[in-house]
Amino acid sequence: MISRKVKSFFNNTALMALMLSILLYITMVIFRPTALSLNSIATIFSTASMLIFVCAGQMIVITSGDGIDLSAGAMMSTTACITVELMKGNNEKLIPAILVCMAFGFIFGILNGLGVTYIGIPALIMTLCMSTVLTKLQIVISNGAPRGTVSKELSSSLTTRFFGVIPGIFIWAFLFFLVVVLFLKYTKFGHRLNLIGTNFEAANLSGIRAKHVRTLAYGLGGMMAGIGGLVGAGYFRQMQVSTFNSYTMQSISAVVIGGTMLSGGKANYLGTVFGALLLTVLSQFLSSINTSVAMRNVIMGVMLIILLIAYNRKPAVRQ
Amino acid sequence: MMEKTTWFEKLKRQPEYMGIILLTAVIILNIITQGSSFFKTSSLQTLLSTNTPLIILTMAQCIVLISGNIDISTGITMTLVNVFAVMMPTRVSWMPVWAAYAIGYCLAVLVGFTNGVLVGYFRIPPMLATYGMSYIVSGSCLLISDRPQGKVAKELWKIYKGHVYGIPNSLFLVLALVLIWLVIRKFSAVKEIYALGGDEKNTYLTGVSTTRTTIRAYTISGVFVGIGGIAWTLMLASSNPLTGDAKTLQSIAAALLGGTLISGGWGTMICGALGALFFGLVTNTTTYMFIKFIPKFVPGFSVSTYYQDFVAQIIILLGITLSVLVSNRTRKLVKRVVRIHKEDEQR
Repeated sequence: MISRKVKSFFNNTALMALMLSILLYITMVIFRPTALSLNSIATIFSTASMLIFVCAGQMIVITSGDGIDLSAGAMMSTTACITVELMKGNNEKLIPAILVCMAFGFIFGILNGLGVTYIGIPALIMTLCMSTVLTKLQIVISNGAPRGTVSKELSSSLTTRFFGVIPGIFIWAFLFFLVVVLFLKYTKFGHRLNLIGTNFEAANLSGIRAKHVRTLAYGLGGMMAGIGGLVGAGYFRQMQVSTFNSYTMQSISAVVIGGTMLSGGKANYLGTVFGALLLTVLSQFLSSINTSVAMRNVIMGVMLIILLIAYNRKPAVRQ
Repeated sequence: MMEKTTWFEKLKRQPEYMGIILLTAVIILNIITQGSSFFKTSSLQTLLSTNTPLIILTMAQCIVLISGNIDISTGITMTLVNVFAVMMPTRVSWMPVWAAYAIGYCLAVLVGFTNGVLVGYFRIPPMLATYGMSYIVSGSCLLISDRPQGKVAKELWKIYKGHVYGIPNSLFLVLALVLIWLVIRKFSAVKEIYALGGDEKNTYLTGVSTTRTTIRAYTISGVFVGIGGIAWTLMLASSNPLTGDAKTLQSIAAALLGGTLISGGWGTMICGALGALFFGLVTNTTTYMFIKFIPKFVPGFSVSTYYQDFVAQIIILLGITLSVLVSNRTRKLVKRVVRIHKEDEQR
């Protein structure tokens, strides 16, 4: 009985990710006591929050079944460039910027979706090509180097720290994620998304327009990455081309570590949040113990593989 | 009885069909824009020697794609061979140059094998397993050398960049690898890889070990990546831990352009070579088109290089779309034909 309880506890990926991140943080504090400060906690919170926006989109795409969005990072960079080019420090342009970023992300997401569902290009390749197209597009939009900045109001609303610990970006990310979870749990679209992820054919036969739903999932994924780009630009104030490209793989890792199955149909909302937290704490930990970039890469890779072996193995063929 | 088919219809059923058509189209386009200088030994030489590493890498990627998996650590593994071969003799005094090349090559095979174990035995999704691996390999590269440095002996890279009777030596390397492929494709070991990509469950049911077949596919890929790494080293004539990683994604795109399907079970290494050549030629063509061809007819026409890249990317995206569409259709057609033949025989 107890052993079963212990087993089910270890099988709860979300909780395990949280436990691991707390453990890592404690080890970090032991190695370097200065890490135990409100400042470092706040840094972890804000970095993880930035990741959450794009993770939510990635989660939706992965849930839709056999899907993956490799253009998420490039999309973030592109909308970040659009934001700074559009706003140029002027706060009145905030609403248009948000709308443009959302629309841009949505349209290119839909293009991804159309390519994947109707033409039948594998998601991996379609979004990969889209990411190279988007990367070139950023350079075309910004003429090589984006010059503008975001408005002070936007950046201060993201970087102000309440009670010294909770950054504004964390609250925005929290609200955003809450909306996404409620949307997925209590709307028809959310249920359909889970269904097509579990069994595309069965969903199709039961009268769901599976292709439409999947296309929309890519659209939403792109839109959320677009919002993530705007928020990231707001947090960093100035932008360079392809700043956020590394977020593609980080978002996928966070979603998968959190327990969302890559085969689709099974989203783990809380797991995604804690996966993002774990990744952030891990990279903070590695940078805090004064390792070289090289060593950090090796440790990061080994950790990722161990976590994957522990939590995201495919079922064996014979089953 | 099977009716006699013309060679063209036979070609149509091969996976290489779309790759050949795309490559012919882009070569014609290139000749139109570039003129007769396309055939000059020096320009052919540059074209082939810069693209050979990508061609070999794409061939390595193809065998993994055929098995229904994917490998996104190939580019960085190629870099590992490069960095190890060039930098190790300077770091470790007792290591002769040939040993550094040999050990670097073995490392590439080892990385391929480890990927195979992770995907086949531990059943981690191939994309993430190889992504984790690419972190480890890139870390190892940076441990050896953190910036572009070192140089390769002139005698060595002269061989690679030289030519015999106007035919570049790098072309011989590619042809040799294609020949190796033509030999190994006859073995049941490779046919099992095709089966695995076609249908994992059925392969298992026929008594083939899926784990071992996956490991085999990744190891063959590692063997080719190692050769690619040596070619890359000779092309650069120095070591660079930074630029190789971008080749991975290019090689996946090139494999698809050649007609390999990412869903597995369809394609050959020759597809990879064709696709990679197309990939290399497209950039070449757009450059000539924007710099020489269009200004001839539209005086005063000039655009920034960003647009050239953009146009090249769009052409590649369109090429991939076309290629995937055609390959999917051909595969279905071939499957149907095979089924009809079987039913005929049973009667």
